[in-house]
Amino acid sequence: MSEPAMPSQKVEEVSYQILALSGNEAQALAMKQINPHMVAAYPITPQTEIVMTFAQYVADGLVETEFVSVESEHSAMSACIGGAASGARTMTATSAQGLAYMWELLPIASAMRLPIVMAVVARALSANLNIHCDHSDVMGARDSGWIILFCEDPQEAYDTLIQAVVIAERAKLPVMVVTDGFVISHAVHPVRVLPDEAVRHFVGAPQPAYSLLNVDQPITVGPVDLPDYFMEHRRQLTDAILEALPIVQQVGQEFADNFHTKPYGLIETFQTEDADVILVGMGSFCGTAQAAVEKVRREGQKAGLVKVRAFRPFPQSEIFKALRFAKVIGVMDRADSLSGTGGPLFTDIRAAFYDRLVTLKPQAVTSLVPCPSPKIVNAIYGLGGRDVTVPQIYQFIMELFDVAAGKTVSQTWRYLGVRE
Amino acid sequence: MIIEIRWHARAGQGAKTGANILAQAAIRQGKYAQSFPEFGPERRGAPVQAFNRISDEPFTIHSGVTEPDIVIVLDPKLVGNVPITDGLKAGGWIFLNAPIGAREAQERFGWQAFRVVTCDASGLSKRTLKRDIPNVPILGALAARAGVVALESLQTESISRLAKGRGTDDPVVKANLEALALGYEETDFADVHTQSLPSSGTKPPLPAWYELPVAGVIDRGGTAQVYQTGGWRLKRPELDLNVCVHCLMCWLVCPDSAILLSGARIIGIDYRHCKGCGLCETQCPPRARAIKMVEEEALQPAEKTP
Ligand code: SF4
Ligand code: SF4
Repeated sequence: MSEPAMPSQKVEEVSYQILALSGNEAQALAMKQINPHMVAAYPITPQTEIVMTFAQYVADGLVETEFVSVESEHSAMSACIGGAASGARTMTATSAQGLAYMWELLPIASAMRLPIVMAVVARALSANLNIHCDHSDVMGARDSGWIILFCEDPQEAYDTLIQAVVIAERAKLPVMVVTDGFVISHAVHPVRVLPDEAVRHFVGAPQPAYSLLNVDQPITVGPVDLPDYFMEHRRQLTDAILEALPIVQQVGQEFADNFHTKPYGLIETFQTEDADVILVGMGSFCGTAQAAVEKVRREGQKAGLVKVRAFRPFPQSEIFKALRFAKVIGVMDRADSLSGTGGPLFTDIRAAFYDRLVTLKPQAVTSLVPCPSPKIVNAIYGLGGRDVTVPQIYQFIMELFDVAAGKTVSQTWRYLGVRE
Repeated sequence: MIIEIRWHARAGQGAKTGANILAQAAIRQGKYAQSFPEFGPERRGAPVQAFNRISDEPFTIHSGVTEPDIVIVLDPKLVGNVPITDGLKAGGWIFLNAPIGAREAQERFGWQAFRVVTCDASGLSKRTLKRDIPNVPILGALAARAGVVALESLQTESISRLAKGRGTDDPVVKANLEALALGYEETDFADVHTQSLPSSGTKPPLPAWYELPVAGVIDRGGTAQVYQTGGWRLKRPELDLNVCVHCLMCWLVCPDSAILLSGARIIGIDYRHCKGCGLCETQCPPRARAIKMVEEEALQPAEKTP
C-alpha cells in the first residue's frame, strides 16, 4: 500500500485573490487548479455549469485533463471507475436525476475503493418536474459507501472540493461534495481563491496502490466474490468509512493551517455551549439559520446551531457531544425519507442519542446524558426549492422553546413552510 | 422431525434436479419439504451441493444443511476432495453412486460409523437412459433403504414431469421409471460398525477481513495456476503423440492452457488444470484425431497437487 498523498508544507506567502464566483464557478475553478488526469461527464441537463465551465478550460488548453464526454451519467461514472482503477486522478459532477441514473455505479466505485471526487449540485428528484434545491438526490446515494460532504456557500464548495481530492486518496474512498442547487450553485459570493501552485502543492501527486495500466504488475479488480469472501470485503468497507472520519478532520485541519482559512472539521457549531434549543442542518440552510439564531440570542434566549459537514461518514460522537445538553433539538431535513417517521438526518441524530445509552456504562450515562435527555424533533423544509427564510426559522425556534417549556409534541416531525 | 439431506455432486450430474424431484415427491405425499441448490461457480464438473429438508410438520428454516441425516454422493471421486461426512452424525446414511459393495465403500473411505448404501446409479442409468444421469436411480435407492419417500410418489412425480406432451407410453418416461425401479432394487447396504466418527481433518481457517487485500484486488497475474480445475474433470483427453501433427489447434482453443508445449511441439496435457471440456478433441483435425476424450476411471481420486 502506498503512503497517502501528503499535502504541502505550510505555504507562508500565498497571494490570495478575492473573486466574485457562483458555487458552480468556484468548483470549476477548483477543478482547474486541481488539474485532474481525467474528467468524465454527461454534458447535457441535469449536468451543472461546473462541467460546462471546466470543458471550456479543457478546450482553451488551461488544464491537461483528458475530458471524456459520455452519453449518460451511468457511463460517466463507469468511465470514472475505469480511470480511477488505472490510477488516474478522476473527477466528475452531476445533479438530481443524473445522480440517480449513476446510482448503480456508486457502490461499485466505493467497494473498489476508488478515490473519485464528484461535485453534486443537490436538486429535487422528479416527479413532479422540478429542478430546484432539495437533498433528495443525495439522500438516494446515502448508503452507497461514498464520503458525503455538505457545503454551505461557494467558499466552502471551493475549499472542500480541493480537500476532497486528498481525503479521497487517503481514505481510498470516493467523495461527493454537495452544494445546494441554485441557492449556492448559481449564487455569486466573494470567494477567496488560492494560487494554482498552492492548490497543486496541497493535493500533491496521486500515489495509487495499483494501476490497471501497469503491465509489469497485472492485477484484477472487482473480481467475483462469492459468499465465502464477500462479507469480509464489506466489513473492510465499513471500516474504511469509519477510518475516514479522522481523515476528513485531519485534511480540513491541514487546509486551514496551510491557507489560514476558517477551521474545517466534521461539524461546525455556533453558540451551542449553553444553548437550550439547538438546530441541526446541512448546506445553505445553516447560514440563514445562523442569522435567526443570532436574533434569538439578541433577544436573550439561548439558541444554537450545528452544521453537519460530514454526513457520511456520520460523526455520531461529535454531534452527540455538541447536542447533549440541549433541552430541545430541531433537526432540519431538506428531504423526506418517506418512511412516515421523518427525514434522514433526523433518523441519524436520534440514533446518536440512543446509541450512547446502549454503549455507555451506567455511571457515564447519568453523567454524560442529562436526564431527561433532549427532545429531538424534525422539520422537513425547502423541498423542490421552497425558500426558507430567517423569520420562518426564528418562528420555528420559538416553537421549540415552547416545547422546552413543557408544551407537548404529538408528532416528532412536521413540514415547515407548507401550506396547511 | 425434519430429515435433512445433503447432496454432493459435480455440476451437470443432476443433484439440483434430484433434490427437486425428491421434494416434489415428498410434497405429493402430503409432507412438508424443501429443496435448494448451493450456488457456486456454475461450471460443468465443479463440485456442487444441493439440500433437502423433509418433515411431517411445517418448518421455517432456510439455511443450508450442515448437520445432515443423509448424504447422497453422485460422484465417488469427490470422496476425499470435498467434506462428505462433515456434520453427519454416527448412524447417519451415506448413499454412494459407485459400482462397489457397501462394505467395501465403508472400509475404503473409513465410513464404519455410518449406514452406507451403494448403488451403481451411473451404470443403471446408462443401461436404461443411455446416459449417465445418476440422480434418478439414486432416488430409487433412497426410497428403498431410507424410506424418506415412497417409490410410488417418485414414480408419479417422474411421470408428471416427463409425460407432458409425451404420454406415459413414451420411451423416455418408461426408461426413467425403469431407472428408478432398478435403483430401488439394486442396492447394497452395510450397517454401522463403530460409533467413532472419522476425523474430518481440520481445514485451515479462511483469512479474517483485515487480513485480506483491500477490496479483494488480486495484485498479481498468473493466479489461475493456483486454482486446480483438474478436479472438475468428468472425462479426460488422451493424447496420442504418435499421430499428432503438431498443428497446435488444441493449444489454441484450450481455455485452461492445459496443453503443454515445448517450442512449437505438443508434449502432453496438464491434468492438474485440464477440466475435461473436450474442446481440444473437437478441434483436432480429422486426419490426426490425436486426442480422444475418455471416461475418467471409476473411483479414481481426482488428481492431487504434486
Ligand atoms: S479437455 Fe482439452 S481443451 Fe479442455 S481443458 Fe482439457 S486439455 Fe484443455
Ligand atoms: S490438435 Fe491434434 S494434431 Fe493438432 S496439435 Fe493438438 S493433438 Fe496434435
